[in-house]
Amino acid sequence: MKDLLIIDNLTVSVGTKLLVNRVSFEVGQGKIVAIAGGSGSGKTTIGLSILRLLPSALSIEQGSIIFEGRHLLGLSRREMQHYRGKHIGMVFQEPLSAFDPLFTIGQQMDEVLSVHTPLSGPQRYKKILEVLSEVELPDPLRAYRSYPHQLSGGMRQRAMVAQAIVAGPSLIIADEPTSSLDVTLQVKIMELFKRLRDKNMSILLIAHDLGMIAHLADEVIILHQGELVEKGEVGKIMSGPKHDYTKALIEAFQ
Amino acid sequence: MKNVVKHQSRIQLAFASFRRNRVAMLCFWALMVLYGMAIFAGFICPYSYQDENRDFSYCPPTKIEFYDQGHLSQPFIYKRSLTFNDIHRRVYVTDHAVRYPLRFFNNGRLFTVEAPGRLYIWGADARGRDIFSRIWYGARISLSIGILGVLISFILGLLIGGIAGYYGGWVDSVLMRLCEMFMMVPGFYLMLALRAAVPENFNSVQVYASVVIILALIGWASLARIIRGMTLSLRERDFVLAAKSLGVPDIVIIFKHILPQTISFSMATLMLTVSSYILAEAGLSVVGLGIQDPIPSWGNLLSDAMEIVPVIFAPWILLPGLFIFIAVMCFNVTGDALRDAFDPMFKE
Amino acid sequence: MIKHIIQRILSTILLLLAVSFFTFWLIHATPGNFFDSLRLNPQISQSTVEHYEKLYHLNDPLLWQYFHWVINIFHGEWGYSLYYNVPVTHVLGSRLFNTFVLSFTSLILTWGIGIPLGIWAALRRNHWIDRMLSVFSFAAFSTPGFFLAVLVLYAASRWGGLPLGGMHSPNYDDMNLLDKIKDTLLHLVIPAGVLSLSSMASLQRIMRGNMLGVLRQQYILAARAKGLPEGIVIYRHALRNAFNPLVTLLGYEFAALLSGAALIEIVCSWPGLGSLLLTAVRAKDVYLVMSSTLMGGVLLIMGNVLADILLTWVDPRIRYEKRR
Repeated sequence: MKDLLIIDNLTVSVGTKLLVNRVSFEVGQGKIVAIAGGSGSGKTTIGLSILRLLPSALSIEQGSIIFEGRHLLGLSRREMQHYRGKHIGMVFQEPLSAFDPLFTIGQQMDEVLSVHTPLSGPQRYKKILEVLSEVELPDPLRAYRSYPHQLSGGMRQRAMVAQAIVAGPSLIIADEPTSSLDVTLQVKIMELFKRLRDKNMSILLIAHDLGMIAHLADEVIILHQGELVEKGEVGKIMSGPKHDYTKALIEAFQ
Repeated sequence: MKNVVKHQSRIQLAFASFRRNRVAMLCFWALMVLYGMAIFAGFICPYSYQDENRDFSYCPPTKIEFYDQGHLSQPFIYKRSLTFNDIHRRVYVTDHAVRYPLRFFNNGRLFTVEAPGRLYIWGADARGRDIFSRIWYGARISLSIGILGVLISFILGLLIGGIAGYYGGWVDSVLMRLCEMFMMVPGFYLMLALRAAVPENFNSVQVYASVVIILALIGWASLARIIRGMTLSLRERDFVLAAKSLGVPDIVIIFKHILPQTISFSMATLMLTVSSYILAEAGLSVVGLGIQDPIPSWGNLLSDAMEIVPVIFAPWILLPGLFIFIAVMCFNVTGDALRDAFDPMFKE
Repeated sequence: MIKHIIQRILSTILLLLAVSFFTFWLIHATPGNFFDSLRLNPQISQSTVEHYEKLYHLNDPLLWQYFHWVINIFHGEWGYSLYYNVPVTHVLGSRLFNTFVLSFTSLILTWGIGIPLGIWAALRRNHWIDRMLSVFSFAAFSTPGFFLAVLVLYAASRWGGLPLGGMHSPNYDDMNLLDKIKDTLLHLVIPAGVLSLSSMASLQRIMRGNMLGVLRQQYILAARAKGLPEGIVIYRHALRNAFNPLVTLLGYEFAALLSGAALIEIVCSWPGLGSLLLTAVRAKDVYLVMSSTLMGGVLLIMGNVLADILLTWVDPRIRYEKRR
């Protein structure tokens, strides 16, 4: 089975400083791959690079990003917009700041569908409600009509996941999706991700919590200050870490 | 007192950042020049502000000659006299036969000419008074009124804002309602109404004081709100809790610990307020309700220029407006730069 | 939401009462009874004087006089103008309308030009036009409005094309409706233009700042991550969020507008409320001063309530705010 996403020798810099240094890894279909590391390791930068949403001060020096067989880095901005949301979705860490406070959840999800699909208004409405119940929101209709500030933290994060998957992407990039939630909610979101993976969706999980990664991910990549330190199946890495940094990370989350 | 030490270096950092802003520093020094000229007006100006001579009504600016028939010589001016042309318009004729040399450091003034010569560097007004002199004497009024007004507004703002922010609760609500009320009244209307109450027989000093108070009353409210905001956030800090636990009375905490810290951050707003007060005084004086003639203020100097006809024939009477603009602009630029320097969020 | 609006109206009525009483007290605190001059004026009949004396209870204590003044206001009796020699209501109505026309036009200019300029400047940050706009803005709100008005009038006198003040041309009454409108618009150019210039400048700066701040927000990144075209990201999401806080400014803007309009009215000879107030103050025409101030206040309330309604409509966070 061909890999869904291939990152090859990716190097990102800001000025003279290297944020990501020749990182290579693959994400297969229906797999949860985690990028783990402390702050400043470059993991968020990789996530943003895939979608080509880096701030203008950063530049991709070299490397390639191949998604479903296409080289993403060579695409024009318009072509990139086609991939964003429709083929690759993104879940952010803090759902309150990732939603526009002036529009309802329903409106913001409807935007995605109207840009990426030929569905009519009623069809979009139906699809959105379906997805909202798929993420196990107790009252999808209420969520549809609510403004971001009217939902609780846990519901908001589910809504964000819903928004990311509503157009049917094959890859989700999740940047610290549970960091702002308390433990019980974290578990729920993790279960949600597992269900998505079982439906053959791939998830690129960016996180620093190795405990969560151990429970959720299939494979893990350890980054330290922009360099790839170790990668492989989660079970193998957790039981037999080769690199000192990996060992330190594991200890920190024991 | 870790917080206090950290705060000190933040202030120093902010000032250093301000000093790096060349445009702002330029404006700051321009202001210093303006104030310097105003203070030394008695020395720099050839005439007092009341010195009038109706024979030179609306006389155009006098050209200072440095060459006498091709040779460099001591500066002098030619005689000017007034005649009327065939359509009864004023015309000033220069008489090259008569010269008045410039005298320096004469009578305690930097430069003058011997009577009956008149030196009008920037022209004369309707009564033959020297605009140059009146502008610099006027600077004393216009520039000082703004500062004094802001001082009073600031004190009011500190008191009310500090108390509101520190005590919170219903005290805060009531005081903030009061502020809102003042902020919502159209400034000019309030000024006029207050001015209407000032008795007609006030002498110039009393009028000056009244104008200062009127200005202070229109602007204290927004200052109070800002200080209240800062006080609210400051009172949660550790050093306040420490002082409280040591039994320091509230009043002392407010005045000794909290308010001094608000001063540095208020400075930007203070500068901006000075500029609005200078404009307000000008507005009041130009309609004749501010400082009264013969005491000059930039505003009342412009009241002559409100009619279009004099302006067409003697455009130099518009000069005070230029100075209002320069002063206000400089205060605005330095105030804005101070605000940028103190608030890292504004950095782009 | 309704509750909030009612609260606002109540507090502004309180404000009006406070300001009017303050003005009333101030005028009466000054020496020289206004009514003495009224009595001495041969043009005013004795019966008129007596009528007003009774109406205003001039022999009663101050508070009582004020109370009666307020009651009379509600009966449509606004007092007598010494200066114009007619009841106040005769002068107030048209002046009020004129100020409204000037202020409203100015408001449209300010927001209609200031907002787009601000957006434009934010999108082209550090472009030379942005920098120039910045300098220009500073200059615009540092210049005294009345001074700028004189300069513009001076330029207009030199180069022609625009009427030099006033609201109507001499032959206004003979014009048909369309020409009347055109004539008024021509006369509006200088006063409204000068009036809006400085507020336009500061609004543009604020909008630019807001826009830049909003563009840094996470939800803008998220919107792009959704694959939305840049146009929708900027003009649907960024714009609305940048614009919202400005609606709160609208209320204070009215106060500033009325204030600035007064001086410009005077310089451009625009027959409005501000110039009326000035004449009244100079003449110590008590009831005219009171009524003009009151009218200014009423204009202000209406503006503020409108701004408040607009804000609650436009920002769902306020509309659905939980009770604190």
